[in-house]
Amino acid sequence: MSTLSLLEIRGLDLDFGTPSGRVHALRNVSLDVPAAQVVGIVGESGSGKSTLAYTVMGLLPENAQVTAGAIVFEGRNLLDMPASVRQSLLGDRLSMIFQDPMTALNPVRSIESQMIDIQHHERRSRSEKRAAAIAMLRRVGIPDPDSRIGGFPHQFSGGMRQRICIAMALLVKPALLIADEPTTALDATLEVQIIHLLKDLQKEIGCAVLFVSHHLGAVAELCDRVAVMYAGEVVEQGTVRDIFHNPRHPYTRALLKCDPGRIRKSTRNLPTIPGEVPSLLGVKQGCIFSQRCPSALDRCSQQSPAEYRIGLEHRARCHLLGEEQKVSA
Amino acid sequence: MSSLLRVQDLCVRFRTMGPLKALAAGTKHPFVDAVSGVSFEIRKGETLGLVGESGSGKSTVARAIMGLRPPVSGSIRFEGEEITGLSAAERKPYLRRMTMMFQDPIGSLSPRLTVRSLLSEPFRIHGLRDRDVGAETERLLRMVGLPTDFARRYPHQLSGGQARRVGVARALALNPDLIIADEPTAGLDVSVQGEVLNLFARLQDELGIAILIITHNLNVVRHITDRMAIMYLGRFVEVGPTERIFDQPRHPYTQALLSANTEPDPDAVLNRIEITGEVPSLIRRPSGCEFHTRCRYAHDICSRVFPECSASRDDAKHRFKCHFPLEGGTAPSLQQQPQVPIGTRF
Repeated sequence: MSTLSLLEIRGLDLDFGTPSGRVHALRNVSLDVPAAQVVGIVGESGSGKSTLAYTVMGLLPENAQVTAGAIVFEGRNLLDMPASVRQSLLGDRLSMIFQDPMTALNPVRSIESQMIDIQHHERRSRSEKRAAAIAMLRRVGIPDPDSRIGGFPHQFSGGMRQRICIAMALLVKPALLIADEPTTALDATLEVQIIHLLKDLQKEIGCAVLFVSHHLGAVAELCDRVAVMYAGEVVEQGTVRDIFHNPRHPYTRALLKCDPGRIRKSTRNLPTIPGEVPSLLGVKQGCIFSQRCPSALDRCSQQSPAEYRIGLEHRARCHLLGEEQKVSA
Repeated sequence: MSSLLRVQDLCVRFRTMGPLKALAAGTKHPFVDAVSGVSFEIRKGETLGLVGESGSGKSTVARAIMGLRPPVSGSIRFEGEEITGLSAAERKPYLRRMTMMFQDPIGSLSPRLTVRSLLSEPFRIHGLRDRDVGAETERLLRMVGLPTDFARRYPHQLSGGQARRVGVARALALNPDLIIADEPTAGLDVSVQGEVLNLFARLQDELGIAILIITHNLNVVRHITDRMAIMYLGRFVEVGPTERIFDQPRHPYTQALLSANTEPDPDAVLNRIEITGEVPSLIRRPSGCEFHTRCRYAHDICSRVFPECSASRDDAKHRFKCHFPLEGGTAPSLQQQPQVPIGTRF
């Protein structure tokens, strides 16, 4: 664990209070985002990947409660900060792109006023801010930005709106950009365009990106490091090549096998992961994946696995790795 | 195999403004053709995939077939009988034989009905009072691989994949000959997506149902369809056997769509053909070949002349509308003669 990390999440536990009990949405999550790198979080729905992104931004609903852990951003723990200090980081050092470009923009205000508002941390004149906004719109590929900046969100298509959202998020030159499934609502052809745009802009601005997605192809293309989440836990993390070429956790392997993009030959029988994601209500014993794991051992259902180090940056939580290490030792 | 559904020259039109506004704006043609000149057929037990970007008119085709949106011209024949222009009562017997699954798995189930009521609704609607609802519900749940005690649940108690299975069971209730599935796996995780597609494949093998799958996900189409059609701006640009189109796409749009699939491999060397720009507006359709504004191979003729439908030399079932079709996945040469049209439509 380098001290150079921009964002360090350590042992984060998060519960949602619900009428039927406490839902443990995040359990013992540790993750590093080094400066100027793209870190992907992959997992199925309900794995807690978006919750993690919202926790970093401090945008959680009222029934959410962090019960343990720390989120250290630029050397300061976000969870210990007064709310006003934490808020002042948003739209300055931290910014976010949301999943649905249709609802992320205010429908009754022009793009111009929204893009000027987001620069409220900067001491510049309105016309300078407007010029910066136009330059950014041109950079993200909005044709004729001088006149279109006066338009309203409904006058733009979905892909254009996501470009505007990206322009807004990067206009403030953040240290960390959090992108929550920015391509899920878009077509495949647009998805490719948006991923390339994000990658180019990330290099230009030099910010770090936390990229949340369930789309393995997008993550493989964009990210430097990947964390795989399952049912509220990070089960495996490492560099993008570690995860895609040498997956060690049974869940990561199963997930990669399921991606139809990997299956070259036409088949009538696609691989699946049998079973359901377990309920996160109440206390869980043992490995969270044990019920669906094809190679589960006896102790998997009783004992929670420790995190094993596989490579320099490659780590996974699985008892099988412990067995292997014993054998080799 | 005989033809089950035959669609010819289908055209679906939407009004863009009211008559008064059109008069005030001086617009002579206040309409937009969301689907234009679409022809295809589905044989018994066959799976056809309809692929295209958002706004290409895929769902409108499905809605026109189901009678939810009357077409302005063209014919839709089910087993040889014309079903356009039928009244609701006249249409009812056909709706027993073709059913539709809508996009949103949970949203397409009424939140106030239990799974049991949802599954018995088709029998009630079609007046089949003699059926034992309890037994039918159990049969259907078993068929789609859900536990029978799910009958008491409400849609909000189901996960996306389970809700989709209930949707499939509902569509199967009346033993249809054709299922129209509009984005059956949109919003589902990869592992669940595989389950739903396997279910389709199994049901088709067991029951011999014809399926029309509408999707923007090419990976879905590849594994379960026999043939596929690619739509752009409300028209078919290429039709043919699925494997063949994946191996050697002839239309540049198809090629670009195929290469827009992101590879789950960080070291994959992609010869990606990125389409620049966005889908043009249907209100202002481009002249000539409608894809020429985004096509990297476009020549002068493409912006002037609408390409006729041509067929591949070695497979007459593989048809496309392009002046300079691709050969073996590579760029067409500049010297190449424009294709000789065969004059037929899709």
